[in-house]
Amino acid sequence: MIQEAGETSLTSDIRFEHVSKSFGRRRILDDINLLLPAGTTTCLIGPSGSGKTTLLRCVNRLETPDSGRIFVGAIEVTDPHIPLSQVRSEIGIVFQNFNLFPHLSAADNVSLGPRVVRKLPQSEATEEALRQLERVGLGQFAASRPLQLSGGQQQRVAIARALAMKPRALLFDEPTSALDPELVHEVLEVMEDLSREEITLIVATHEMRFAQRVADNVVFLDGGQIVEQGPPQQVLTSPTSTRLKSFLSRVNL
Amino acid sequence: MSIGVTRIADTFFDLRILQRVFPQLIETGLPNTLILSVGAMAVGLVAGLIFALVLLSKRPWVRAIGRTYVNIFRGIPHIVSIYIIGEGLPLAGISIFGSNTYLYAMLAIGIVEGSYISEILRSGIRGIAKGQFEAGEGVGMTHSQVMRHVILPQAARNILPALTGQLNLVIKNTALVFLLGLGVNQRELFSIAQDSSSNNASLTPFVAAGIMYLAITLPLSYFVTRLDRRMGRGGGRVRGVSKNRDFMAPDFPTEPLEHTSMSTGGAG
Repeated sequence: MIQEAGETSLTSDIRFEHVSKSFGRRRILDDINLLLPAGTTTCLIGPSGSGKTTLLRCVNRLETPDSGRIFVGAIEVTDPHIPLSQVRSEIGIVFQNFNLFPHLSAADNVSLGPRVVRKLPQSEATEEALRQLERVGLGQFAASRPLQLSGGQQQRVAIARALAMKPRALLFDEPTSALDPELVHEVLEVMEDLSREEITLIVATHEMRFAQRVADNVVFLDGGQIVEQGPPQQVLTSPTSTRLKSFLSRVNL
Repeated sequence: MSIGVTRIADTFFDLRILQRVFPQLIETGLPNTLILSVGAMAVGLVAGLIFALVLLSKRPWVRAIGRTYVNIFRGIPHIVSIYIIGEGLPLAGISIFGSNTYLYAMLAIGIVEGSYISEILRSGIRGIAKGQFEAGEGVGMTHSQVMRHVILPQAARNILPALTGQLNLVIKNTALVFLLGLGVNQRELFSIAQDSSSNNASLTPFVAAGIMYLAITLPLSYFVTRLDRRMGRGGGRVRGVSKNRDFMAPDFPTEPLEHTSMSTGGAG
């Protein structure tokens, strides 16, 4: 696989070098340069359309940047010759709308990747799935179909599905935006637990209190550019740019 | 009044003729219709699946081939296509099946039905939300793995009602085989009824044949309804979810408008 020599932990840092992307004539990412140290949690904040989602999706190549390079550890994911399935098997993603497989039980949702991609035998894949469901507090829902679960539970299954691949980094694309307010907490709790583990997390989010409490690093994007970045105390409590000040005044901390 | 009733009964339900025609329909017609139906369905499903994938290709010229096939066979009356393929191929010296009328018939009906089936499969696959492709690719599956484990199982359920309707049409269209000329023991339900009708100057044999067709098509529909229910459509409700509508499989036939490209890249 793509583990670097001499590295003890599977987790990797993530580097963006001059990453740009446009959709048609609209520039979504404009010369992004960013270093996310291994094992840290980074929250991407910014208004809708600021490029948060696109930036995330470039990391596992659901989108391809027009120019610039992205590295996960020593691996250049923007290398045009790299097998995408291998990149994606090592970088998990959790979507806003969960995107669970509705025809499969929770356990089957989680075990499908290990079975098909990591080629584990069904019994081992199921064991792994049950372990991951337990980890997100859903052990007793292994047999439930997604439609029988609440939104918060579905999103936790989606997190378990990503974890079952043993990823070196995990991308969260506004994971609580589609949830009813009372269900947001259970998902954030699972993510907070993950942030203490040895895995690099990038979270595009509107949950400022989560960013404040959990993030090592907060990146404010606007118009496809990084306007400010730094520890949450600095970025969220004493913003310097007018753009961030006006954004923060519009979202309630 | 009673003369009128008797006349209707004699025209459509002449017991003497029913007694004579039913054994023939059951012993010769039914097996032959079933053989033709199964063969034509097999050809139709294989052609349909191949051309559905052709229609979903990323390459415009490949899609154009599929589009041409679908447009031609959906735009020509079945009877014309069956003459052209079933009679035409052997006449043109393309005797791939020798003089086996049944195989030409299965091929002809199958190719015609495949054009409809490919469209049903295509829209069934397109009806699966784009997020499902991304979720599959997001855990590292290749495009074909996503198709096999994520998309096709869901599409199968979505297309079941439309596909059943089409398979019913295949069964009914086997009646057109009489065009190709059949030996006595090759006759299927319709041609037996036709012969018996002209021999007895009565419409009763057609009524008998109709009953036989229903004896095939109604159980098929019933079986599929049961299967559909067992696959769990419409079960379980979502609690506490506000915006994940695109998650749920749309009812056939729906095509999301913004679904422009179904492949965001598979294995590199």
